[in-house]
Amino acid sequence: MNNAVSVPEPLLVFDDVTIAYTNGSVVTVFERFSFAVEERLFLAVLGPSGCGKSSLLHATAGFIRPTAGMIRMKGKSISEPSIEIGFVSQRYALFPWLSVEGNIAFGLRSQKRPETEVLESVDSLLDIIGLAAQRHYYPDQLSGGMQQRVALARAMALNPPLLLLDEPFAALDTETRRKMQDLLLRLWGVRATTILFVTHDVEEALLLADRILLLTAVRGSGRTVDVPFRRPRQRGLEHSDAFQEFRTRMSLQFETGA
Amino acid sequence: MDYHDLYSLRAIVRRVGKVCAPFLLVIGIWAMASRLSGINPALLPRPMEVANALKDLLVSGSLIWDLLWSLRRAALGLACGGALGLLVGTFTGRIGAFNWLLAPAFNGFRALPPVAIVPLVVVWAGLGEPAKVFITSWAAFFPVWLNTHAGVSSVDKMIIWAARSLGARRERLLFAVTFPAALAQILVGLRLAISSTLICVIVAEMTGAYVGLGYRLQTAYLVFRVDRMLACMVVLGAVGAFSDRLFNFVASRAFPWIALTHDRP
Repeated sequence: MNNAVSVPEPLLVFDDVTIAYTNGSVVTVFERFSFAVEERLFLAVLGPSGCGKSSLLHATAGFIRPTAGMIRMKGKSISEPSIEIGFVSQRYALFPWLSVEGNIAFGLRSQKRPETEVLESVDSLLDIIGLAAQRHYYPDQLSGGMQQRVALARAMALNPPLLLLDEPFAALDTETRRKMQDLLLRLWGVRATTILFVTHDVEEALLLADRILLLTAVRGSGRTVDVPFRRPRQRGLEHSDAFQEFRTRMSLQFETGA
Repeated sequence: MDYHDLYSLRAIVRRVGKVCAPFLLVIGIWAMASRLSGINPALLPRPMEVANALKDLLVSGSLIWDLLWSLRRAALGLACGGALGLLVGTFTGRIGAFNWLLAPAFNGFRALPPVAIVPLVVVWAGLGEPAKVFITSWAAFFPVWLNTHAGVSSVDKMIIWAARSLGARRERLLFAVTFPAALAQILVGLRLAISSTLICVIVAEMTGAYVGLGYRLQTAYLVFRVDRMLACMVVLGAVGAFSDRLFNFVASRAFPWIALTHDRP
């Protein structure tokens, strides 16, 4: 009799992933990187500039192929972009020819969902992001913060099990950034999604994530740190002694790559 | 009439004045030159004589007929050459093999002034309508091809990635993402194509036609009627300026987002 219990594979698995670019000479960004991300986890990816954070995210989204190794989601290899993986970049990448409503509905319409369902989803997301009054505006008529809210809603419209965010709030001012962080946590609470959030801001990572993947400048090496603060994390947490102490420790590790 | 009416009336007068002033200046210098320079009036007629020639051509109905024929030929060329330029530009802009195979030859042909092909087309295809439509199509093709190619091949990869991660594939990626993203540049090509076809239709008609603005210009030249030649040129200038304004107007109404992201097409 076989008593072995099959343990489900984590949602996302990096299996000996190597990412290299040919630009005259070969530049290896990641070498034999292995890592796993469990379902419903909010993982922040921290690391110095040029350590390959964005490349890791692009490969996870299926935009680029790893040179060697494999990235699997739900046991299947990721070989091209898919509606199962949402992506939000720092540059928003909204479609300037579509209104706010058209941008959010784009994925649903690509999937040929019934128009009533499309409009229901769009209405609900517009309410969450607080842009119902601007639904007919074009992206270039919106502020940076508003555009980023639309980009988030567009990525969430198809309810992807995995959402990748590449320094999404880096270009925003402090106040707008705080609002966007709250919005992201609200959306994460409503939708059962796993988040990979690339940032270079230690405080942002500590406020948002369950776990932090701290990458170093050494190709493909890093370590994980569990964030010890319980949810829901109230505003003002960042001023507490415990937070400041942890933040200082993380910052030192971040700066020294220890 | 209250203060606001007066203000809007002044604004209208100022706007009309801004549009008309450059023309009035040119006409004024022209009138002075023809009166004071001592040049033979047969060579440099006064503005009033040109206006009379224009009136005669309009009243006789020949100018309207010429204008309609020229516009028809230009529109046919723009439609054929523009459509082909759009199609080929999409292929060369998106598929490396097409670009590698076709772009060098097209770039070579593009370097030729469109009017340089007119004698060859007349020798090969005669003086009929197909030859004229071929010449105007040739003139329209290259600006549309080049700008479509450039627009389609330079769409921000982040936009394409975003669309693909939202499930867009093949036709949807092409029609709902690539074309709109390249549209501003495609419109620049169309705008250049309009002026290029107008130039070439006149040259083609001057080479051999029985109706058209180019034909009217040529016949005026043969009988040494400079006033009529200038009248035809005034009409041509007006058609060129009007078509450009009309194109801009239609484009800005049809694609209002372009004005937000780019300079006016």
